[in-house]
Amino acid sequence: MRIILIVVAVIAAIWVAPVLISEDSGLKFGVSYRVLFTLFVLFAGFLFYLLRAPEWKPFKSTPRAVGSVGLVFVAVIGAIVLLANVSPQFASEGQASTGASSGERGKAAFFDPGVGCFLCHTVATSGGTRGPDLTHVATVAANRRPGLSVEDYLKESLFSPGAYVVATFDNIMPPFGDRLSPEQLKDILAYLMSLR
Amino acid sequence: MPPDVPLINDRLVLWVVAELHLLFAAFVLGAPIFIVICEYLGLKTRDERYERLAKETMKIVAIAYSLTALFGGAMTFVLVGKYQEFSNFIFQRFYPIFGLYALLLLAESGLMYVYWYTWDALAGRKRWHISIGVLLNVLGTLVMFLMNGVGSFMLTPPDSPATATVWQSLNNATWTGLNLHRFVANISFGGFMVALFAALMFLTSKKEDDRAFYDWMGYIGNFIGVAALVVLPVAGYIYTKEIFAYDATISTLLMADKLAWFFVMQGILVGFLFLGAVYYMWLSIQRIEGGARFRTYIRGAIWACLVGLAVWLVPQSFLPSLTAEPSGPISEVTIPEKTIFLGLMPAKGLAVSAIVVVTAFVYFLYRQAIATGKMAWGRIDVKAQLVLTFLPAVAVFTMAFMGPIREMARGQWHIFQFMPDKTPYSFITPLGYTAIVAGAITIIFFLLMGAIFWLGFKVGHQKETT
Ligand code: HEC
Repeated sequence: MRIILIVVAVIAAIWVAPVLISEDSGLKFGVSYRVLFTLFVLFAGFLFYLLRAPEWKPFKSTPRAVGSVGLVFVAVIGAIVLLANVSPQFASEGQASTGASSGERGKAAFFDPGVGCFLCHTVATSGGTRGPDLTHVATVAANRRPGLSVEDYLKESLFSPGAYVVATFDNIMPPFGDRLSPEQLKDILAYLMSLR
Repeated sequence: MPPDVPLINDRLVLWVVAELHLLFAAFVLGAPIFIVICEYLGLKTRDERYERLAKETMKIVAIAYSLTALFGGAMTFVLVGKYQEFSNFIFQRFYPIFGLYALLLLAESGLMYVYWYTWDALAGRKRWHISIGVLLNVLGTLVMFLMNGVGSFMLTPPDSPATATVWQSLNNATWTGLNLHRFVANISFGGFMVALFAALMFLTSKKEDDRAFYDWMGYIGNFIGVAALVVLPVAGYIYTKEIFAYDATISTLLMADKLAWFFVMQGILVGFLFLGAVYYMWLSIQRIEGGARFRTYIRGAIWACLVGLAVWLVPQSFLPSLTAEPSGPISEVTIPEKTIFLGLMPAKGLAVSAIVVVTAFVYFLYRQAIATGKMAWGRIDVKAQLVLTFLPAVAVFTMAFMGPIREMARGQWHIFQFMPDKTPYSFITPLGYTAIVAGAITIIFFLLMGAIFWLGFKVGHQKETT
């Protein structure tokens, strides 16, 4: 009984306090934090309840014993999996590209040593540094050359990289127009377009 | 909802098979360490229960051994069949190592049979038998070290991986850390698994004598499991230090980017392990004469653990990755200015240390209680036995969950910054999906383990008693 009261009081404090605290106190926790704290307090309350719970006597039948063990397993693993699924999630790249398999092939080509983009360019965390980081190239491309669309600029970068040389980099990127098949170029373009 | 990756794909198949191989391998490596320790304790204390415990557990190891090999074989098939470029390179690069591995494995399994079949024959010469057991463990550990070399090479290869010597490749930047971490974790895991068998036997036993024995066995399993668990954060710290020293972009990925929330999850899991261990001691100390007087301290320890865990879990932000856009105002999802220190490494380190120290303290109290009071074996709250099933469930899930973190730390690489992963699945899976896969693997593992246990323990046992 006392435990329930304490738990309720603490949870109330978690939700009321931020209303009273001013924005610039630097102590105001956002809603997500409050939800996390609430879950934590509930867990702590449960734990303290368990400390006082009356003793359990041995199970009478084997099925009951095995059943309770099974229940522990399902409950524990279920709770953990549930918790992981309500935690913040980033969008899966697999999802983004299941429809556009052209982009997937483009990514593969990008990281193919035979093609070699990744030797000079980084995407996300992997790749070389002789060329600009392309993690957000589709966004960057919008403002590179006034009048050129993102797609056209990226095309130009592949066919005649010398037409516009990104500041602080050398004009060392080879033109790829005749090195790759039209299919490959299309796929790589699709991949670059997805790097927003 | 997360399962946004087609259900059966090459990576998932490899993932499940590799993880099951690893879990069984961890068991057949960890349990024999446990067994030899028990055999030794049996010799030292002249307490016959140790001998029985060691022998009953060894039966299970023998069966689990073949499943380890089975999944290892399956893993090789998938690798060679579906990841040719990679396996070609790895098998060539480590050719002498794989040769040595095969030889040691052969020797190890031979020795395992010798150990098992000479148990009664060498009953009069216990020291000889224990020496065989120790040698068995040395070989097993060497086998693991060799494969750790290959695994750690993928994340932290030496400069110019194609031309480095075999030794440089094996002894790469994180080999020591991984060896240490897995070695300690296996002991802990072995202990918890033994505690699980004991709990199952306790719960299904009808006789007082049996219950007394299995209560004791669960206590020993948990005792060794917790002893190793307490050291594990140190080993983990050394291992991550090595990774961070190798390449700072990996540390960003792990601690501040896509994998950051995976570590919040890991904190919860490890917190469960420690709290579970302390709760077991809380429940079981009352079967020691005069043990109840220690309970106030244990309650205090639980408070301390909870505070530590709370600090450990406070995240820097609720953003799933560095580049994620918050849907509302940013102040809602990031840590308030004056409490930023709570989200930083020193606070986390302090929190983990507090949990470790406090658990060690309770452990010490428990030993103290045993030294001063008489133990009523078997008179234990059944909840404590359920805790002994809870602990391995969490431990196995944690292992199945940490595995993908280690693998995905490589980002889009098979071999970091050397051989890119060109399959469509070279991306980091979201937290929820990862947890679902880990959960499924955990369940499969325990179903298989359950079958083995039934074969080795229950069936064998019925024969002995009838
Ligand atoms: C030899 C190194 C090298 C290789 C190989 C290379 N690049 Fe480049 N790339 C550069 C450099 C240097 C620049 C910046 C100078 C410039 O704009 O020409 C650049 C610029 C770019 C840009 C424009 C970036 C911006 O921010 O405006 C794109 C897009 C691009 N590369 C894509 C590719 C693709 C796709 C491939 C593979 C088919 C590739 N690169 C292969 C070196 C390389």
